[in-house]
Amino acid sequence: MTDDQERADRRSPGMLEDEVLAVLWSGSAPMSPAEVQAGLGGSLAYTTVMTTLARLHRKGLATRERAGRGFVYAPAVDEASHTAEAMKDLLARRQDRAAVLAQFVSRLSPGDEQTLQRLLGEAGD
Amino acid sequence: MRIIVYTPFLVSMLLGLAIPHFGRRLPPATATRLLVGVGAAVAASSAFALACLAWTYLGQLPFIAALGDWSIRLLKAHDPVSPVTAMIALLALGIVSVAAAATVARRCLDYLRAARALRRMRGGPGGLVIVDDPAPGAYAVPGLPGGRGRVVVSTGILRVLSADERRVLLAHERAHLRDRHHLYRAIATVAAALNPLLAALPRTVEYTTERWADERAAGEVGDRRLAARAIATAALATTHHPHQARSAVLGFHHGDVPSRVTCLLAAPPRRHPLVTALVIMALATCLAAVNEVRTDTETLFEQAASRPATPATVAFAHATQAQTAKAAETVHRAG
Repeated sequence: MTDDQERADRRSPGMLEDEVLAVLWSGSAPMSPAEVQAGLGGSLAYTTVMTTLARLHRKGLATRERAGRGFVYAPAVDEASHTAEAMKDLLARRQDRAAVLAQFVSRLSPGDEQTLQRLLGEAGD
Repeated sequence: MRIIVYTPFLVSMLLGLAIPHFGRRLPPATATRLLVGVGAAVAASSAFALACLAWTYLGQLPFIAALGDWSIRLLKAHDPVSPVTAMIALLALGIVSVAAAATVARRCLDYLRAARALRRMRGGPGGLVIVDDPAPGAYAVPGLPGGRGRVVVSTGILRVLSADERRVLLAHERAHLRDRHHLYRAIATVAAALNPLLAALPRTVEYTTERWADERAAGEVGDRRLAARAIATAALATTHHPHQARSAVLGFHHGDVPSRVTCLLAAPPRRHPLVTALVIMALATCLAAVNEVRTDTETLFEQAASRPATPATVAFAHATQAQTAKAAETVHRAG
């Protein structure tokens, strides 16, 4: 078993389902399990991906339709939950939100941007 | 009351100056716990010192003295704190108390509002909420006590990241929730409100908690360079997105993202036992001073006690009165 697989197996089922959901949402069209597997970085077994997709479908978080011999999956869209409007309440108004909302990255100043481009070049090697 | 009463202010001034430096040098988990813990204790100490200074004046007001069992005349005779100093302390205490209370209230409202917004969103089994929005964005939103927090990400950010980078993003935001970074941030904000000399604390803790989550994420995916790449990519996409102006309220902190990326490209952070020891020593000094101040204040009011006045204590009080006043005068001039 490779390191990657070991790590993948340490993920809890909830985390795995979230990651599969993220893949479904990042695609523009319904995806086959093989496409989802590739979208996860390819470190997970095909059967694991299948099981997870089936579980998401059962929970109503993903929709599926028949395509050829198998199914293709898409995220279940729920207006109240997934529109940008829903996030407005979280982000609106105040500036000192940092203590409540931990955002992944802050915006860059022009100087920061140059530095970062250079660092990204280093990280890409 | 001796000059030692001013120790917490001196310690918080030095700590305030050193906070940003420590935040960047120490391993992020240590830095967060240490700076928030020491910051909170030092802020509380300085508020206590203000209260003790103010109390020497308040105790001389007739209606307050009437509640206690000390004589105003004796207290005035023993009191080494000038009325002006005491009144300034009282005013300062009033201001920082109101500021701290307002901060706590605002923070609670923010949590409630975030929790209410979260209730309307349906999350994935692991607590992930995906919002269909082309503007890149990702946030960890703490739940109320007992409830669970949520990770909210936009489709915009999912699309600019690769599969592996997405795992970094999710691991980073989950780390915020798991290690309760919002609590550290909230305490830092209140400490800074209680003691403006610690104004650098909230920003520094914001940075150290981001770094902490970065290190967690790098550990989880097992690749520091990958984590660095994910952060850099997300930051560049966020800055360049045309719709970004909408959520621009979140602003930027100059230098934070490049610094985080640089740290991840370097070796994992080393411990600095010396720096840690230094901060703990500052705390110990502060707490020892507070204990002395407490004793001093108690002694002052015991000396001024009018009720259990046996002839001996009165004689003693009168004998030492002139001496104490003179000594205090000297100390005060020296300060």
